[in-house]
Amino acid sequence: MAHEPRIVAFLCNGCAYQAADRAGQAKLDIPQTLLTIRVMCTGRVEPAFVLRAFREGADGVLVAGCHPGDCQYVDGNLRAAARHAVLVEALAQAGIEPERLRLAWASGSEAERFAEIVREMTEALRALGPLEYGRRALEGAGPLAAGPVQVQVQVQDQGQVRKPKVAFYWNASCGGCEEAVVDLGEGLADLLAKVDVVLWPVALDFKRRDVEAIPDGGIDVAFVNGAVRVTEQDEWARLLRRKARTVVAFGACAHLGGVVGLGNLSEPADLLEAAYRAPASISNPEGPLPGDPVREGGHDLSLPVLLPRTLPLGEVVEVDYVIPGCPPSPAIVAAAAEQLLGAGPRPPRGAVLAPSASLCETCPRKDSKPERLEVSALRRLATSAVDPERCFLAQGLVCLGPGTRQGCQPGCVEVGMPCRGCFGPLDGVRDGGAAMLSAYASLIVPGGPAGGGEEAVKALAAQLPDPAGTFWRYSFAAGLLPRRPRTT
Amino acid sequence: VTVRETRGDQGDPASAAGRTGLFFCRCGPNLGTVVRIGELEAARWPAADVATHGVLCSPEGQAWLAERIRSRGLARVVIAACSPREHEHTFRKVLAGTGRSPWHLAMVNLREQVEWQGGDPAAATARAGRLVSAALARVALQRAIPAEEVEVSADVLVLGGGAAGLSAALTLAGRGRKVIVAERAFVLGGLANQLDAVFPDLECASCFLEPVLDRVLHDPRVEVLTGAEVRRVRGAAGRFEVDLELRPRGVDPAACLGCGACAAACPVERPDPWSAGLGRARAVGLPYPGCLPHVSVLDADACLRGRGQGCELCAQACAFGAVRLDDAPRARTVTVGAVVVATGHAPGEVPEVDGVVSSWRLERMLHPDGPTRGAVVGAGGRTPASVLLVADADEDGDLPGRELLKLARIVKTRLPAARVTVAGGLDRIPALRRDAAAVAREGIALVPGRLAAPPLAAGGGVAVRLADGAGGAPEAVAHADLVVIHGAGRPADGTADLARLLRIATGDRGFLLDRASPFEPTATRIAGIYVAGAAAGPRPLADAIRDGAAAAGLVHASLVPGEKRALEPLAAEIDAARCGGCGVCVSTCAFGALVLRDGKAIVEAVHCRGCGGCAAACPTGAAAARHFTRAQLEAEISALLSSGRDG
Repeated sequence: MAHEPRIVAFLCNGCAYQAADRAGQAKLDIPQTLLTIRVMCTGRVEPAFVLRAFREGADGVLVAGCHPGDCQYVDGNLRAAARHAVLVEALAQAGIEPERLRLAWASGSEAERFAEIVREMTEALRALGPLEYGRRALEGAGPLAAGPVQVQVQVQDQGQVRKPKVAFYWNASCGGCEEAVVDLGEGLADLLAKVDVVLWPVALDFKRRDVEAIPDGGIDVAFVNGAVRVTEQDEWARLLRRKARTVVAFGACAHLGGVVGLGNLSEPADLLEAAYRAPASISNPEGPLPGDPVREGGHDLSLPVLLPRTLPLGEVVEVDYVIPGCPPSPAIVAAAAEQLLGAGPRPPRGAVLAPSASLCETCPRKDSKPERLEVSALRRLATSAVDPERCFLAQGLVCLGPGTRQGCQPGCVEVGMPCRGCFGPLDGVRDGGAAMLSAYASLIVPGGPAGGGEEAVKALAAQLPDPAGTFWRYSFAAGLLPRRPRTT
Repeated sequence: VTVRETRGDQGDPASAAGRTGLFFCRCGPNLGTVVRIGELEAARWPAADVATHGVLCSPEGQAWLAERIRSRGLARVVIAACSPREHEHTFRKVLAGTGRSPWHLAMVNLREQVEWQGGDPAAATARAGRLVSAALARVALQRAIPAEEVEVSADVLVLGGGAAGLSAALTLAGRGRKVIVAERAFVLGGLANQLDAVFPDLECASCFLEPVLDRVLHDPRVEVLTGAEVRRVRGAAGRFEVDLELRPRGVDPAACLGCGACAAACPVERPDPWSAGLGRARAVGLPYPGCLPHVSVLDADACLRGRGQGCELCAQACAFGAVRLDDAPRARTVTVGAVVVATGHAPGEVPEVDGVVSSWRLERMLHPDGPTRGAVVGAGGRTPASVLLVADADEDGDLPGRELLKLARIVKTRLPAARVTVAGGLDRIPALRRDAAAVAREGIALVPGRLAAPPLAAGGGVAVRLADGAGGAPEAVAHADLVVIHGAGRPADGTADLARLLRIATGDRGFLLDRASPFEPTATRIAGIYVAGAAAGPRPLADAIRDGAAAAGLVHASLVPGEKRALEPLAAEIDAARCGGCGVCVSTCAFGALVLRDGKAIVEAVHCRGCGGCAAACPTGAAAARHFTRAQLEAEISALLSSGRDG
């Protein structure tokens, strides 16, 4: 039997769920494809629920509620429409067809309409074939099949007073995290006086064999920045995990994949094509790509190859602590160094070493926020005059401050840039990008329920360019859907 | 009734949540043909007790279930049966009856949404299994919700002091309710009180309105607020909090006698807002003769002081010291159990052509105390020898016809020599035939044809092209010294804003929509909010008055003094430790149930309706929707997708 689509359906209690009941009562012919979840209102549906459903094996997601104007909660369905419009666009960027996520309206009496929605969607999904996101898209690099390396944490050296052995390493990163260490200024000299640096490629010459020679567990703390994008970084991550008692993911790329993670919106082959063959400025007549074997001077040479996707460090090896940010601010780097290298008790393992609280709380613009934020026109920093003191959201600009962790201060907001989310979400929020997409889209209600209605909401949402890059700028590789579901 | 019990205790992995029971119902003959109940029952479930019953909702079935819950020590129950819309309530009561929380129930809709949707039994049974898994996953995470109540306010806010609002206010106050009438203008009576006579018997409008106004103004149970604008509405039926702004009258109503000395002293002359554009008036004075309350109003925008010039002539002229030059707006919040919206409509407008007036302007002309003192004025300011009345308002049904017939009769009385014509073929409209015949007997001509083009000034009078829309008959051009056009009524100014604040819907033309519920006339989609009179579209005065009484009756029936209203059990919760005070939830709540206090969002449960929108919008996970928590919904998603693969 051919694969029957699985559709997770969020049906509102007021209308669509009743329509589904009526369709049954009328014995209408409906494909057995809906996996229904009853909600009070479509306004309850979080974009993260949709992503989770795709991640866990849904071929499609249906969100169905009352017709605009009929919502018993006034405009919950319009909020759902705004979120849907932005999310569908973001999913398209990630290679998920718009037909897989449908928003539909059916009143409680529209049984036939409801049946038709299910039939249409089932047909569309049969034509598209299974999504099977979890089966393909989440698999990592070959070596990952072995799973994260387990390390026995060793007891501190008894009675011996010695400087902690520290490693700094860089994977796929821009070098900004190294700058962040140097930005400690005079504090860096103090820090270096207290530690014994065993690895720091940006500053000192070490070879891989030097690190391999260190006994397992012989490094006290390894600060690793950068995402894991190529095979060599995967090897280094595992090597350092084996050698270090404590591994710290340093900066947004190691934490969440960072900007490097946006590469997951494309397939590796397309990235290489775009980097090494397509640009007119590149002369590559034979078209070799990194990883292709080259024989030079009697030696077989090759460059590391791209992994199927960018991975945050924590998906390759177990990470003990995270220092967030792009880059981490000197204040939190200094505080983390004290916490991890000082004499005091350590934070609980797994902690992100910045306050789990929203940036809004400390925002200098917070008092300028109106009682109700309503986005009735989208503005962009590059093309708009920006009030230097007013809340960015109140000005129609996208600011991820509400869902972003504190710790950057002084950060972007202080110099007139809306928050772009580099510190990641608060503890317990699985996908910060999805959360902020929902928050921002929820504010899009031009003129309220008596105003423009669904079309106006959709038109406004459509003006938001690059939603995937906007909401998952630093966290796409760590999101619920961290890559394209299939090869293009 | 057959009871078939299966294996006993399977062990309960979710022991922290207490033992869970899973019950299948065959619903008599309704379940089991497509969905293989036996197969489901035999599957391995993480439940302490799995059993099937023939008709679980029957009294016997309920008793069996209660006994089973007690004897097996079940804390949570999943029932795979019909739609929860049908029997969730029934089974919640069974749980409550055994001392369990009614919130520890989850239902699986096998009947309506699987069995009755037909198809391949294997696929249907596999799907049913996924739905059961989801309910088991969810029920383990469900939490008891304590029942809470709040005292209702039996007071009623009536917005608008026109005929419909007065009718509602009196009908409510007559049964001892406290009523607050909030009127945007500084006088009561609305448009009706500015009419000379009303349809069909040319009864004197002020003669029947004034005693009513008098009662409203002197009834101790009715508080009248004039110059009132609604600024914010929160809450739900039984307890609304409405913030009003009271614009400054500029005159102390307790001191003013309405003598007019202030108006006589005022140096400013401006168009009279109460004369349908016909007359001019001073910046201070009585809005119109005979208005109630009979108190002057100072129009701060027209006053010289409002333009930065010094002038105190009116204050000096007032013998009673009633003028308040420094009067300022005031805020007032009222807590009421219901709101009757009776904000009326605005009369239709017509093109500005000499000799063409709207039916409303003619009404004001005809009023003996109006701007022309009752004189009918045609083109060039002359008394017209011919008057043509025509409607341009198809959307208002019979109303324009009734209005024109009434006006024609009054005009004919005032100008017996004039040739008075009513266009529109009103004698052919069944509902108007009798009245039209009576009008015709009074020497008024009834002609077919509707307005086919805007009227034009011609030959010292007005030329109007009329076409009979019905049969495609040729157009006729009619000439008259005065052309009266009844244009379609419009929503009163501010109607859209009011609708947004009250969260009630508006129709295509911008009028407020009631729910069109036959046994609840005037009820809107928001419980406890009613719309009466022309705010819901132009209608005869008698209908508006009836609307007011109907709304009052529904309020009496549904809002009982001393009763308590259950607080929404699904009301949202905020985890203050996670809340960053971003205000996204506050901004997205349609009910004003969320407020920011000291930098944190707070749920005012009395206003919350439990939609869960805030939980979806909150970017930090601080807002939670009870019974629809993130953990519960995610558990459902995972369970739906993780059980054995089908197909």
